[in-house]
Amino acid sequence: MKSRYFAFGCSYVDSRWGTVADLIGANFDDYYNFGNAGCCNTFILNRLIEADNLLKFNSTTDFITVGVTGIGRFSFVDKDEKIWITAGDHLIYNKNNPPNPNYPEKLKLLAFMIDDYSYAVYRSWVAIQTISTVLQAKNIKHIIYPSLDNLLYLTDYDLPKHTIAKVEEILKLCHIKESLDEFVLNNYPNRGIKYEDGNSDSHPTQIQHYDYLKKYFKEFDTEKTLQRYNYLENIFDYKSINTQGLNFYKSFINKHRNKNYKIWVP
Amino acid sequence: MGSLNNILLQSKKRCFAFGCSYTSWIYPTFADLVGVNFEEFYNFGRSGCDNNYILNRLVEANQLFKFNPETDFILVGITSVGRYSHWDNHDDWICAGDVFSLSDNFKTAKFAKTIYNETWAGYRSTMAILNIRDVLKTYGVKHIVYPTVDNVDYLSGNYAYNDVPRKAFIPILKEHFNKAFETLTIKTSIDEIRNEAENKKITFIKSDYDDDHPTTSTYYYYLKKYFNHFDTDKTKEVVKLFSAQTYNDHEELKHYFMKNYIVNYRKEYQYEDSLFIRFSDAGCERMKEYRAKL
Repeated sequence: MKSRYFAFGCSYVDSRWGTVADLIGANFDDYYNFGNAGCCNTFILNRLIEADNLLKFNSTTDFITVGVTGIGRFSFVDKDEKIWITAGDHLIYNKNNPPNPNYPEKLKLLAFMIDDYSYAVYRSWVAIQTISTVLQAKNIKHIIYPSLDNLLYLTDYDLPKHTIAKVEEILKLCHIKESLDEFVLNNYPNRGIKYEDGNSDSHPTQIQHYDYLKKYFKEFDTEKTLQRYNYLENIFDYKSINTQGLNFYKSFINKHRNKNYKIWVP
Repeated sequence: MGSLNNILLQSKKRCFAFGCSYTSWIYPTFADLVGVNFEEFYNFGRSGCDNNYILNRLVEANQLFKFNPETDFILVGITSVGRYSHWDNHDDWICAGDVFSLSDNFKTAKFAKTIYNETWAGYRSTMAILNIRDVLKTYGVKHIVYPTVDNVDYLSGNYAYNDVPRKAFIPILKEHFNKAFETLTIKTSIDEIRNEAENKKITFIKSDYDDDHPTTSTYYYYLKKYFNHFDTDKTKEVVKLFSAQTYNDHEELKHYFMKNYIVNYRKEYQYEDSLFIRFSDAGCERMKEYRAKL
């Protein structure tokens, strides 16, 4: 039987260049990436359940990683476009860090109308708790790790005790404690890529993803992974975000990710 | 159904119920009629809640009570698709029922008008049902999941509620909602048997409105039809206590329910402080009041 790997998470899983998931994927016959840039943890839970319904997880052949994303996110299906709006953290702001003016108006409205820190923490707690419970029960080999650094929920927002407890429980449910964000902050002077056209992208770079894999996913630090890393570095297009995005899709995603399924709502 | 009923009767210690007002209301529901047959009965139903709230409460209750396959039994009443429950920043849940039909003075109504939509609502409920199915399997506890409210209008469209037109699910969502629905223990909703149960409204003499929920006798009809092993002397006793269909007002019925049912059979209020999201119903205060008098 073919070995299968399923990756779930946000842009730290599915980005414009190779992620830790893309590197792990080199070691499996079939590699599925359900990452979605800017999505929330509830979105990740739902994609996981959707993937199970579509592709039937199998405890003898499958391996799953779940990259826990930012707590202050809220993904929704747009009323007019009928597609998911996954626009990242709308709750990470304070006096010194005002809300991002570029967020979609509806997301700002949503944050203003119904969201708050405790509700956001509760949503993420239910999502990660359910992911952990379901994967354990199905006996699927899996790793839950924090992609983004959510520690600011413990320190910056003066949240009620019961909310803080839920943040701590989310962190306990992660098999790896150091987030990719913290790993980058602790080990590198810079993050992200600056393109030749002057634009930049602040996501962890391919080498940072690879080093994170070497530290925390040692069993996948293989020759195949190294070959994939080298391939990803070789095809990198530094001209602009757009050319790299298109190139990555054509030269990597199309060739190495299994897309033989149809998600319910795009 | 006989064999299912036999299995259900093996566990008699703890019963947990989750759902909307068809699970917890101001008089006994189907879940309340089942719950009297257990040593401990916890009813986490919440009027106006959505299916995601029900999932959340189920996950939360497992953390608090550590469900035990040997002793426990769980009831989940799936509710209407067109709802959106959220936590307000004043530390309380806003469970306003069907948000597509809310009048403008509700905070959630603005959200429904500008952001919420049938596709998202359908996806959320489909995923909630599948998640509920998966966590219940995981817990290994005997359970029944049944539809309370009839969702057929969401699937078909061409329907208006309070003059607000609704749209049908997109085909792929309809397909998956139906598949998820097929996993329920019972496919017939309580709403659908109301006519055959000769459902009559509870009327209030001193009030200008009646109660539109199914009556206790309708819930009893549903119980007898699908889960007749719970048609016990205790169940019959509760049905008899609530056979009247006329009361002075809501308050009178609430107090009658508290005095004759909740203080005798329900346990969830003892755990109110342990739950992440507290009960908001005045029931908590009333419960303390009654317990003090006992």
